[in-house]
Amino acid sequence: MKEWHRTVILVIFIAVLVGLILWARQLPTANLTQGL
Amino acid sequence: MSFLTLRRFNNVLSAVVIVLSLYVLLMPFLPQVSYRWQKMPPLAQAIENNPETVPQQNTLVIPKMKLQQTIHEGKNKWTLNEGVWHIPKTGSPDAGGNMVLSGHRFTYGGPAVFYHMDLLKEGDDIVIYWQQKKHRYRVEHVLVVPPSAKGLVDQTPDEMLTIYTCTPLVTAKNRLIIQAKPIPEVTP
Repeated sequence: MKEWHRTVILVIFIAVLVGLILWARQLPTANLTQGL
Repeated sequence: MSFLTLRRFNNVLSAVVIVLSLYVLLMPFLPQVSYRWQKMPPLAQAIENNPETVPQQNTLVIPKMKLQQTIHEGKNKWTLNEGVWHIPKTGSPDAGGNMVLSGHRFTYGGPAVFYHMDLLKEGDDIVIYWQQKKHRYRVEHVLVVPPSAKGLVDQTPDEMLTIYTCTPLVTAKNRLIIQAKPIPEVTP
């Protein structure tokens, strides 16, 4: 694998992880206030 | 960019991936570990006695959870990002009725104020400092209900305290509800 291929894969991985954290951050607030 | 520079850059990116992955995986469980070494907050240390300095802000104190948190007023659900939220149009210790408080059990980077709420059992004490006055409650019921359950946060003629958060941990499948009744404060 070429070195710049590794760069692209790692950047995509980081973007997915950051997106996952941001999505998970707002999730409890959206869910907790549903119902009751 | 030379081959060696790109390689160093990739090593840094790899380290970032590892740190982020560890953050995602370990964060939900870190409070369980830190609870053991966490100090009892000053107001929770001696709930039997009147503290030397009463908090200026409305404060919730639960010794069993080593919790001492300011109660936030706010019109919408995003107040939950500040900590404990006093649900609007519900009771209060001075006005009576059912006072309803809510907070997060777990959230990434936010205040997970009620993480240890599963430790609360019937008979445990809760203290609320409201308008610089101490109000003491005792847990009467611990319930786990689906979010569709009705009537639990409705107003009541008698004074009571309802606290709710999500359960099981890291999910919002059900609601963990604590119902507490006021007990008379014995002033020394």
